Amino acid sequence: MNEPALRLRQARPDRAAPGGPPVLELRGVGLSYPGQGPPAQAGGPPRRRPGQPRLARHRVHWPPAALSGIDLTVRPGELVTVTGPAQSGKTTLLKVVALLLRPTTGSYLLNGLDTARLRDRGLAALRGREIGLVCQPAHLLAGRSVLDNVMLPLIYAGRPERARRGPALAGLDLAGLGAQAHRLVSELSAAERQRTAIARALVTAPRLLICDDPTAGLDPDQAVQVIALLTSLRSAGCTVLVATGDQLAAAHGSRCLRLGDGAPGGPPA
Amino acid sequence: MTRARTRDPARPTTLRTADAAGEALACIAARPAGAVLTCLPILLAAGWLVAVLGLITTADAQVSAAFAARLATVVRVSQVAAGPAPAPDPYPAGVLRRLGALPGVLADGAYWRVSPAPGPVLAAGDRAAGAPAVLAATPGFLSATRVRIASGRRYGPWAEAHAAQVCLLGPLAARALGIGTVRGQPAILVGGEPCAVQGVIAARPARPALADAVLLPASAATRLFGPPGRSPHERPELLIRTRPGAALAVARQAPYVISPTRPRRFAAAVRRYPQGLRDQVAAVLGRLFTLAAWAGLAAGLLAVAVVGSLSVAGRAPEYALRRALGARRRHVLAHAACESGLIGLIGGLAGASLGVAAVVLVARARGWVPVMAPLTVLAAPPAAACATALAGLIPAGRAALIQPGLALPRLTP
Repeated sequence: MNEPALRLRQARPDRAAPGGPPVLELRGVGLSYPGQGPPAQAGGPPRRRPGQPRLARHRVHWPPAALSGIDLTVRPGELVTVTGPAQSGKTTLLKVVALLLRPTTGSYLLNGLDTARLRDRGLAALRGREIGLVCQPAHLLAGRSVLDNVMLPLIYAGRPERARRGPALAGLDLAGLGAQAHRLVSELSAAERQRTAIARALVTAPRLLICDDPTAGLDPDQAVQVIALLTSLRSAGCTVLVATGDQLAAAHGSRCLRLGDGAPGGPPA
Repeated sequence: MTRARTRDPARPTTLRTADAAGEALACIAARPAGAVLTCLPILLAAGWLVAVLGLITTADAQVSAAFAARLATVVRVSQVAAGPAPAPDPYPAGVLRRLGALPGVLADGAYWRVSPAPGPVLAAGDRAAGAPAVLAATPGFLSATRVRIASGRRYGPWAEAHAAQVCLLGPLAARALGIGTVRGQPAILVGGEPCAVQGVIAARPARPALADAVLLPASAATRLFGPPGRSPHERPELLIRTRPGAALAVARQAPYVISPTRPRRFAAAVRRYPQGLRDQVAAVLGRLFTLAAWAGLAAGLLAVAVVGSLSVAGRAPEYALRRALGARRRHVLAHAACESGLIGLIGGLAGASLGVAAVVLVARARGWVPVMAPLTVLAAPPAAACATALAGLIPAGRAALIQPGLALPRLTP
């Protein structure tokens, strides 16, 4: 284990306890966007109004829900991968876990906290302190330096300015970008951008790191670097949830959730 | 990365004011082209407001100066008929000297019409004028009435002191006498008394009565035709020219200077300063231009709101990212409002400078003195910042309502 990973482990001793209480628990989670799924009303389909044409011989086919019946429990120190074909709901599931979308059915417990009972400010607090999100693509602020991008979550975490630089540089060291701190993000390669996003996600020392297809668009060597980084984080006790269509990346997970059409148990990716 | 987990993880996140301002400034610096585009409407609006208000002030001062210069600088002092019989010479030389010492007095002089008429005015070859008025006037009177000479020169203190028999001819009287120039040292007879023509007054004199008149030094007229005031309707008068704004004060003081013991024997009249008319003109112009100025500012703020809304639509992914990293709605609102305010401050500073430059250029082109209230220039940048921040609340509100889960996929690398 490298030195930054050791520091990460020291920063959050509670997450280096495999087998402890689950970091996240999804029970029957489903998500429907407006216009998806059957209308949730009792008494069957809506009544025909007077003068409305009869549709008795036609069956209405509602678009499937984005997610349905997802059950997932992730314990500290696990690296769980979510796989499935394109449009199978991997990113949507990660957005639900990252508290960017509220599930329409089921329950979601984060560190034992029922997220359905939280309002916007509580969700924002959990996003800022408990969750590190690595998006695809990396979504860095253009025209800003690598260090500025990595320090961004610390601003909303309420850290004073003097207490931001140290953790941000440590996160960059962990991601292998310590020497690139003052470069503009526009000067980085795709892999460096991805690693910058990982450093940004780690800077608040979150309990849960969520990565959406972290190896997409990278060449094999770069993908191996990113996978190695995620594996070292897991070794340091970080809980990681990765959505990926890459079999190599999926093989490094301790468990794999396979999705198809937004439901568990889809075909192999 | 050393943080103890002892507090509630769902406690609200915070955003310091300095951090909000710093992030807003960094965003502006990262997108200078977008900032300039957003800044442009408020720059033009602030510049327009400062320029119009400055031009109103300048034009107002110009109107004041024009009215004051033309109408409120002449005091006419006459001896009232009521009271004791007037003295034969109510304006001895000492009076003119004392009046000239009053603050604000530029020139003063006495004049009267010689009455009864001394007789025909004849030029060489017995050429007669019609019936020109024969006026006795001190040299100060010529200065006070700003007599312009077409040919020759005015008579001065020496002629007055020595009762020299010289005269000035009004343009009509000169034409009637056939005298166009004094190059041949012409002379005329006034009531049989010879007088050398020292000058011919230019056409259209300030006092129309001087056009058809023969002016003699007061001392010479007294010596030749007797002291003034023999006829009750032809009493001598004083004419005082003052600096703009001093006429009323001089008019109040003049009777006491002439006769400290009997000031009521004299009445000083000022050509009324048309304050009401001037104020009316200034008020109408001011209302019109102020309306135009505020309309321009409102249009600028509307443009800021529209440009800001467009900017928010383009930057929705960035706001969604901030929300994903822990920002609350109010943090996004504060960030967007700070950014608008800073852009407004920059636009206000540039606009105020532009407005001042416009006022100076217009004033110089018109030959006016640029006059601006300091408050207008100093208050423009902070006012523009506040107004832009308020106008930016609409797009900021839209930014705060962005759903991060829906806006995030639209992020571009």
